[in-house]
Amino acid sequence: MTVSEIFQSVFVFHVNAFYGIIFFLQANFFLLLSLPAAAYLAWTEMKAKAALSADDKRRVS
Amino acid sequence: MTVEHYNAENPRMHISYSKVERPEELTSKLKIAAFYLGVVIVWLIVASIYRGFGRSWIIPAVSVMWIAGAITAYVARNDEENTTRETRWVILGFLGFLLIYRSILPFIVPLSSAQMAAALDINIPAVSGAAIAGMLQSILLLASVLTPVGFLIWCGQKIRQYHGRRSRQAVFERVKGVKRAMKGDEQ
Repeated sequence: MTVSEIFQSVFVFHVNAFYGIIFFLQANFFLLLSLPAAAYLAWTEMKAKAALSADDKRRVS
Repeated sequence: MTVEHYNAENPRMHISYSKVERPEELTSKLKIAAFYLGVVIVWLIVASIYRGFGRSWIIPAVSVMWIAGAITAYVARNDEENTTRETRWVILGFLGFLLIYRSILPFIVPLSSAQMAAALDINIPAVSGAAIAGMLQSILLLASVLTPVGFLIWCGQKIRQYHGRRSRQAVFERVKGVKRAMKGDEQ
């Protein structure tokens, strides 16, 4: 196996992986776009809920 | 070890806040996360049930609703909890409607015009059997288009209201400042 053949095979693997990733992103575009939005909403709600019950553990000295 | 009692001899308290997660808080956070995950799973299930319509319309529409809800919660900070709650309930309601609609259709569609005429005890022409399919399609289109559009309008008016309230507060502050300045002049 020559060096150019090794480079060729590595190139083929990477092109294949690139197309696979692009296909995945294209197929799940809207899902991937809205998951951060849903996560932000969940985080906001958790934050608001945590603010309702103050963790008031005071050390009295 | 934190001592949690009030010292009567020394009422001046040295306060230090601890960030320990209580079990109740952790449970409530897990509940919220599970709810959102459940809504996303229902979304994917409904989209796969509706096949082509799900891929081309339900997924983008619900995605736009998620994003609009998140933007509204971020911009209109005074009401972010309500916005998040209403966003998830509107999306779940929308998906629930689509799911129920799809699951009850097989029971309604096989009824012929003659059976409907017998059930309602009125004269129904045979042609109206064909009209039912069109009506069902129209109901699906109307509900699945108007719900996201209505939600977007709601988000828009919420952001507009928030900015209106802020500008009103700014006007009040300015008026107060002028009054304060006038009082200062009198004295």
